[in-house]
Amino acid sequence: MTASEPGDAALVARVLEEDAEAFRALVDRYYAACARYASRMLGHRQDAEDALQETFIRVHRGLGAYDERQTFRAWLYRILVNECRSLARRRVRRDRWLLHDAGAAERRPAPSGERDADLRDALQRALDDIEPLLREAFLLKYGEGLEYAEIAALTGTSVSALKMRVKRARDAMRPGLEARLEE
Amino acid sequence: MKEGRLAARVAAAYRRAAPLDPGARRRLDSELNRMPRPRRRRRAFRWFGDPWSLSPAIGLAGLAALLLLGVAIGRLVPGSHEPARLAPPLVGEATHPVEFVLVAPRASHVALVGDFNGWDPRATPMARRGGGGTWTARVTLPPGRHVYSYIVDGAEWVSDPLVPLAPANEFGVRNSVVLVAEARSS
Repeated sequence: MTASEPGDAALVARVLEEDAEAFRALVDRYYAACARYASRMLGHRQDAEDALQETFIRVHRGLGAYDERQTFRAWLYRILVNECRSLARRRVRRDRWLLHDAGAAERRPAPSGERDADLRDALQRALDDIEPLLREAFLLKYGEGLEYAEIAALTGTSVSALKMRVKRARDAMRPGLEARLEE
Repeated sequence: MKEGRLAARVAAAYRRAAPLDPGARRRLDSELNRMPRPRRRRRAFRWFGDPWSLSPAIGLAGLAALLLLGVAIGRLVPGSHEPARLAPPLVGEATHPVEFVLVAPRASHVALVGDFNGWDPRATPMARRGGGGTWTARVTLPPGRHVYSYIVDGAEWVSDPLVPLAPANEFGVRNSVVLVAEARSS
């Protein structure tokens, strides 16, 4: 966002004055970041798309009740995090029945020479191997750059517990990632 | 490798996440175009949609008032000795549906989710009983142990305080448990 662009609060006010373009501008501003979080959190492209679709529809539907005392970004991430949690729960149930790894296509090793894709793949594998709560805290902190206080507000978890989760995530991911990065 | 360098490489890789299908954005825009435009709710009623917007003091006072009101109704109304908040039966018959009941007078929508419906919020919407604040759903369950929760207004996951809770799941959430017994042959 540049200095000339309206802030989130101004865009929300315009949406509530029935300016449809203002909501499109909010989606433009946050779609890529939300897509990144959902993809990494769920490790599955179709689930990430579903989570995004449902998140922005809920935001649109609930904007009339949005409380300006919390930032729009924090409110949006709270809905996104809840949606990813719901999808993950449903996926556990679904995969138990289907007995196949629906995320395998997205996590297959990249062809040699595609260094960026290889690194992305290594990161996703490391993320997939840690507990969902650790992954969630790590992605919100290091992926999206949220402050611990913001993450605490949107997940309902204490700051000290979040710091511990992020540390545990780092410790669990470091050996595999270091080996890959040293290659 | 130094921790700072590792973090920087990880952050860079994270930001180069594989993009989603461009069609997903088009589908979202199309869906949003079909939806009615959002309108600001009157501030006095904003807490209906977001009870967390209340200050903790007002919230606690409101909760205490509701509890007192429930106790008063239970004592004063003849024949009204059932708790205001009904628990689903802990043990039922496989051949009979289990009724889930939640008192949520401020809710505009309540869904029942559990391992029996794939945790799908759209699968089992609850019905408002008699236009009041009591929401019900009847589900036929196979014998065994089932874990469930309620979703109020599409966002708040509410466990049932009057029934046993399952151990925390992978997200640290404790859902409620209902046990359905094997049907006895007569």
